[in-house]
Amino acid sequence: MSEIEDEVRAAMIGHEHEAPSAAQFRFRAPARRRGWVPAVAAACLVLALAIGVFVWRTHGSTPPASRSLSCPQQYQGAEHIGTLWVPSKASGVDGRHRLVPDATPQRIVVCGYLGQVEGALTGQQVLRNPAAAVHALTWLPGDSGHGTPCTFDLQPLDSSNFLIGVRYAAGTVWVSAPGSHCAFASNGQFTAAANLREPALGAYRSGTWHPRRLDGPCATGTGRLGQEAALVPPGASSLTICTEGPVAPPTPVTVHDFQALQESLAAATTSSRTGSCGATGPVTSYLLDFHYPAGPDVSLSVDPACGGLDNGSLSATATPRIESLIKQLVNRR
Amino acid sequence: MDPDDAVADLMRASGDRLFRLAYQLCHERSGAEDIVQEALTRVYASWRRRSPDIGSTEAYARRAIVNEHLRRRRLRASTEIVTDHLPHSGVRRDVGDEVTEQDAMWRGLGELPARQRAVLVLRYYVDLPDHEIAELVGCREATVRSLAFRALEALRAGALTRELP
Repeated sequence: MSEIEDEVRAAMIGHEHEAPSAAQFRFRAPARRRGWVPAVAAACLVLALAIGVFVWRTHGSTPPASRSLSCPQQYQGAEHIGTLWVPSKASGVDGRHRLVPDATPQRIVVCGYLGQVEGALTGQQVLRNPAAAVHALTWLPGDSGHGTPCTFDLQPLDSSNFLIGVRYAAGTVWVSAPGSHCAFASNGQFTAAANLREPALGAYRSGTWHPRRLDGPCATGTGRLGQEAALVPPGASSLTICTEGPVAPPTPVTVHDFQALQESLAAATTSSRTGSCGATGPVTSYLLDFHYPAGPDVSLSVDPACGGLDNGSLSATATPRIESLIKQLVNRR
Repeated sequence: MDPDDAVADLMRASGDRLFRLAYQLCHERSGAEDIVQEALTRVYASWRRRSPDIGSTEAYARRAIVNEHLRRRRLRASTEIVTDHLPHSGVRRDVGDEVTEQDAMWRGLGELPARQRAVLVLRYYVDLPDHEIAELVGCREATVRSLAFRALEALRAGALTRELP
């Protein structure tokens, strides 16, 4: 076998541990028709109607969407742009620590309330790739509460809204994705530092959640859950350093031994990110892309011209030791 | 045997193997889950038409995974740019650099066209002979050899580029 074939095999074997585990997977069996099914279904329907009438008479109107994963006919509070509303809080699953649980979904529906000031349902789509959608949503970092810079112009989707209903074996969670370009997505308990109107519109139109594809090793993604609490959440397995500046090497450097840098970053005093910096100059800056065995990367910009470190959620001052450690890693190649 | 039990048996006996194959093909965890879900749906739907031994079921699931991967890549082909250039990464020196080389090779594999990558995965990861790969991918054995040759050439070119000072 040639050397290149050995390298191909080694690369494949070296990454096989990143594959999902069968133990965590739950197969969603397709619906089957049997002879007795129509009779049972009819009986269930009659029973459900009877229960529905009883509940409606005793408790007034109860939104059915939270249980059945069918889209509510009306998006509540749609007259106010950027309103965060969900039919119900997460039930049967945890909605406090992530936008949606990191588990195999059974079904995802995207409800659209397009261009309707009244908030009437304009359509819905059941996604064909629910796992990809959950993977994109579950890792979104939390909102640090300081908002994000936002222009006060009216954009085409601003008066639209989306709801994303995710059903798991254990329960259901609804995510509100306002069409406003200034609003973040929320499940009612956890608000993610992300505006989901574009992917939600894409999923609503196509029935497929399109994962954001990053161009190059140091492209900045949507971030990673936990980066709102730590510059670099624990568990990173490798680090790619991209350098920009007058003496930058032409290629990114990937390292696996960066504990000293990680410790220094953990010791840095952080504050919530308040905005972007457009300063430029003849100063070398870096983008540190921390990779994890599962889930997205954390991208940390190290820009002395802008005063320091920024992971998209938190910022901190770049100490001389941090800059020195980065230079050592870059020059070790 | 009920199809629910058949799928459960298949997952117990071969689940991790099937997930690893799907991941090698698509390089995305969530994509691998969706591909395996589709493949198992086909196993489930066709269960009563086929022989009930777990070996043939795994082979059927493997074929379904390869087909589903190629089908998805066809659907996405219009939105992606395929390149045969690998990122540079410097000269190999130590164990860390070897891991970096592996990462570069992995990225290179990820940038291959779907059929080329499928052929390499089935040949070097699953260790199938070319005639079985041809059957799985749906082409002639000569085409498998041609696809593998072109894929290895692209990867070799990338590796040579990386070794330049």
